[in-house]
Amino acid sequence: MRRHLQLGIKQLTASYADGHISPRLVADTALDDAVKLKTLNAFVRLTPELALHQANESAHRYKEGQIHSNLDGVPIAIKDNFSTAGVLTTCASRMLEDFVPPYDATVYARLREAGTVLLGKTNMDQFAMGAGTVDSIYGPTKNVWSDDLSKDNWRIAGGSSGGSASAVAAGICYAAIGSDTGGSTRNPASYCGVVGLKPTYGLVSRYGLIPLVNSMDVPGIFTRSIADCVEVLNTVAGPDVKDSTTIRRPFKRLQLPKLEEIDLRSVRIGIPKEYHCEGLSTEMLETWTKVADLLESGGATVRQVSLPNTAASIFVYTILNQCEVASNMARYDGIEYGHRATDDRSTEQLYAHSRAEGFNHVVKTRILTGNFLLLRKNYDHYFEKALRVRRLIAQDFAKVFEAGSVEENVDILLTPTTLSDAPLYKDFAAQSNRDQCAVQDFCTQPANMAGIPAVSIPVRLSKAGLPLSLQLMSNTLNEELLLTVASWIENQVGFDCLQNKHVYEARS
Amino acid sequence: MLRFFPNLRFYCKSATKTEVHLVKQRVELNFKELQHPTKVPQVPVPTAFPDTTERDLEIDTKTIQLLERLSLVDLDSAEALATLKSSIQFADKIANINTDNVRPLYTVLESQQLQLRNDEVTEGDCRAEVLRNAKITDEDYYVSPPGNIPLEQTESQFDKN
Amino acid sequence: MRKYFLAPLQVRQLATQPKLAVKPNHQWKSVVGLEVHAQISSTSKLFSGSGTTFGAPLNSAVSFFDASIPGTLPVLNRKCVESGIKTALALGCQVNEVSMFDRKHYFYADLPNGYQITQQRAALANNGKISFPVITPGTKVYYKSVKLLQLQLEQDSGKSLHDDELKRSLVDLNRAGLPLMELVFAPDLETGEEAASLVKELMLILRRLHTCSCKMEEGALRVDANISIHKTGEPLGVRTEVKNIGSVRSISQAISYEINRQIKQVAAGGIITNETRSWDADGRRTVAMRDKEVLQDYRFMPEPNLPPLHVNLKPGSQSTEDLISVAALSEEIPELPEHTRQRLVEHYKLNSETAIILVNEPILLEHFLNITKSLMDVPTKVVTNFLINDLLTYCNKINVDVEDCALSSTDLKDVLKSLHSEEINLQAARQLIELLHNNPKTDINTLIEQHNLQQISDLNTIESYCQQAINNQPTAAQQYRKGKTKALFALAGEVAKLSAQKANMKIVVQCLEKLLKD
Repeated sequence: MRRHLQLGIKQLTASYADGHISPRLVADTALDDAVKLKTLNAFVRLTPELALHQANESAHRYKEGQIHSNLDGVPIAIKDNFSTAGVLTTCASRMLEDFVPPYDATVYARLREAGTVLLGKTNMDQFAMGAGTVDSIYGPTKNVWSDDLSKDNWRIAGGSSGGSASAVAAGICYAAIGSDTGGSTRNPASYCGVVGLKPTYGLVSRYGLIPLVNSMDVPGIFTRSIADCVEVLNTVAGPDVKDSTTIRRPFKRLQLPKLEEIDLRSVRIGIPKEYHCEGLSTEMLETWTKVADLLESGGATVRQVSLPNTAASIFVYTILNQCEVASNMARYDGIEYGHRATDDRSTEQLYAHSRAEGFNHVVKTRILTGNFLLLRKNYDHYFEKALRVRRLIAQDFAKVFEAGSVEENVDILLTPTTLSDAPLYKDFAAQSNRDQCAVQDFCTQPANMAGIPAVSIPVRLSKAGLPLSLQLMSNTLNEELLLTVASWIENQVGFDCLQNKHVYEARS
Repeated sequence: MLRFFPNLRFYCKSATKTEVHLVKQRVELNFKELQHPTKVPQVPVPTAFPDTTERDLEIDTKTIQLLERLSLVDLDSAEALATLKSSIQFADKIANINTDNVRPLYTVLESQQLQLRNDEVTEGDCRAEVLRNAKITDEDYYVSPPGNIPLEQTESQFDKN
Repeated sequence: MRKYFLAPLQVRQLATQPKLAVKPNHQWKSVVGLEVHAQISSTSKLFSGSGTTFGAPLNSAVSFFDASIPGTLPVLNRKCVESGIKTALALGCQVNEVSMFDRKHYFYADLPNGYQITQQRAALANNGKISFPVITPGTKVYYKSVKLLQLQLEQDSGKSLHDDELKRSLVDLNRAGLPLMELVFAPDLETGEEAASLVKELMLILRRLHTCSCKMEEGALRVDANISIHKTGEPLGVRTEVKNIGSVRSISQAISYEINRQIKQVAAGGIITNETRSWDADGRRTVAMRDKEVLQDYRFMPEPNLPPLHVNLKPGSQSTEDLISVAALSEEIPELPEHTRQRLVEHYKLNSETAIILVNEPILLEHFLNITKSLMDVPTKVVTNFLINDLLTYCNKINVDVEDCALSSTDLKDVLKSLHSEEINLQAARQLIELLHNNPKTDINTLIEQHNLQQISDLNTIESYCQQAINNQPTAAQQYRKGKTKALFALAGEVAKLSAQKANMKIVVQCLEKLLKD
């Protein structure tokens, strides 16, 4: 069996250094697994030549004792909306089906320079518009925890970074990069039972991330443990001169305290009551309640707080999303790159047909609505109004984190990530894309409004055998405390990310 | 001294113990058993948003045509209209939220100095790469159909710009 | 004392065709507002690091960002901001402490992003003013003041070539992303001449600041005009926009034409539609450009990839790597044209028309300052007359820009020196100009020798010429003796003819007077 899959990244690279395993073997195994678990459809394309080349180089470096970083030789996967030079980057859309970027996204460049091994690009909802990874030209991604993968009874992996979550949950790679605009990393992390981190807006460079909503997008990290997550974050975080929306201060590598050194007595946990919304499943509520209790037993102060504008968040998000989409998609005309129709009569005819053929329905309707909301006559009433409410939402967080006295403030917020465990595909698909997002993103997208960091951690399995996860949020640039508390919870609940039958069956 | 987040404290909390404790032996957790009165609300918190479905919206054909030209996504007009109506109803939910004296939050980085770049040539000179993904090029030019002939017209009249 | 008179002002660049000049018309008032796009002189583009050289090979100065490759992001060029601020300060604007960037959306083949990054809601600077002299042939010079409403930074678009034969456009993105300053002036102008004068003054300012080359032929400066007419006392009329104005001369021609066209149209019972028109320089008329029935909405939206731009307004501050100090930049602003004019009038005692001409022709100004520095005893009026009446006129005659004239300040100084010492006379001086232009870097004394340009000052020689002249022109001599002093000029003219224009006229006059007294 693949023992090495049980290892965390630090232990894996230690094994490389000891000579117990070779990066080459691990890469071979990973590519093998990717093929064996093809039914999940986590990957849209594998990069075996590149992976083996990188693995060989890594092995060589270990032999010479000249490794690049703590991630040297670690297999990873990248969501297909991150530019990878020379490798197709499609955003799961016909529009970019043949697009080969001439440059690397900063996140990927940093990982590459750190010596990681790229297994391939992962599946997503087209242009990151969705919460299920069901709207892709490559077909949907299935949740590895599904009871039945073969028929129509499979569960969704969540979205829009479902492929990356799946790849990690299925043990194909140790870490994967996704993106998070309204919950696109935390949502699939929650359903697939892995760690999903949304860093502070501006902490990780967006250069090379094909944007959905520029003012909210962040690269997201999937791993099977908090410790692994910290390794990856330490590699990719920090200012980038190519991205003017990165926070311009030197990044100090995170160092979490050892488990036995964690003292929760100075930690104040807040439970925002509004996050118990209509539709929250009983099991999720129970999970939330229990973990809050655990934290209190661990010494933390736990109190209920209020974030009054929470429910407005989804409407604000939808407005801003549609407007930015209308703008960001304006460049897809088929002239410089992308799908090009054959109608050559006029620029507008060509553009219209290229875009009609290249975009799916979800993208088209968002463009149309976005343009409507941005019309001069509508701008103040919708767009500017949404931005004002956005400030109210951000202020809600600021108030609980810092505005009041020590007795009133909290350090960490504990909430559900998704309202339930992973839905069946057929139930999910019955709803419109907008309604899917509205329900799924309820707990996740306020963090994107405010730009604060948030992480989803798996806690236990539901009665249906599917992961139930919770979300922690904290103030801007407070990743260290956030992940410290997350690691404490992780240790308490002892969730085994790879304990599902498909992962075993596929390999025997 | 650079100004970044004047209204945020820098966190240096790390929650560490001074004494070392052994990690507790893990036991199966009972999710139904609590040791403290819970702070988690056990019933949903109601949200009050106006019901906007009743409002019958009028969007004139001129606006629809304008939108079709601005979007160039070739949606069926009836479908476009339906989409818009539904979206507007959704967006209208926040119309009544009081935002007096609240400035729009364009970016969470509003108090950070915008980065400035030195005036030197560091890019360009990569014609092959830049043209590579274009489906049609001609001797180092991109190729596009003639000018902006509005969608409605079928006869071509070249726009002499 | 010899008199040098100022010929009627013939400043080449501002000449218009008399028939297009608007006659003062009490019934109609015209309103003109200009929008000027000035390309900032910088090494790299506004938001990317590609180059800005004019005429670079096709699509070679194009970065991934310029080509709108997905995932690329804008990074602001400091030099462009500094240039924008300096220009704003020179035009008396209020520089805003915080300004923001917006996206302006429309589809066009030369706009790969489908939007242009500009500043609409919160521009770099507002509320400036430009004051400038208006020179119209036949009218006295007057000063005009026009408000500058807004100065904003924005991207230029690429270029598309229309291939009618193959029914397509060929797109070159070298120009896409070049830095522009858009200057929006209030509609305070009334005539084409005023507009041309404004642009001339603006060009002087921008060139002194080195923020723009102002080469209209390279598209570095583009002027669009908004024009409307209305009857005196009535509200403003519908305006048209005139584009494609390719030179300073075209500015006054195009605007004058359009004003006349609108007046004629309305007087004949027609109406003016809000449309865009193009100036046809060959046909000397404006033509309708596109059908404005189709509405446009640019759906301005804040550019999310560029947080707000802060500048330091504190007096006495210095610029840091991140934060530009407006006060520090204002120290770098050189003397502006209006100050130079005032200095010429106050310090050098020139009249204001002369000061205007010199400032309008920077090379003449340079000559003037160089010459007066080394020839202290030559009266400034002598110098300016020479430069304007003689040098400039010669250049106009041979259709050469005075900047391209081969004469250096030293050459001119030498000529003036000889003229002042009476070694040569004015005719000879004019000849020397031509000779020096055609034989640059030749020693002036050599030329005087070779072409026999010395003035005749020998009394005896002159006396004999004078006597001859009196003999040739007895009537004139008689009339002079009778008291008609003007008759002396005829006699002097005769001496000039006899001496092949080489006699020293001052001595000739004295000599004639003496001889005629007897």
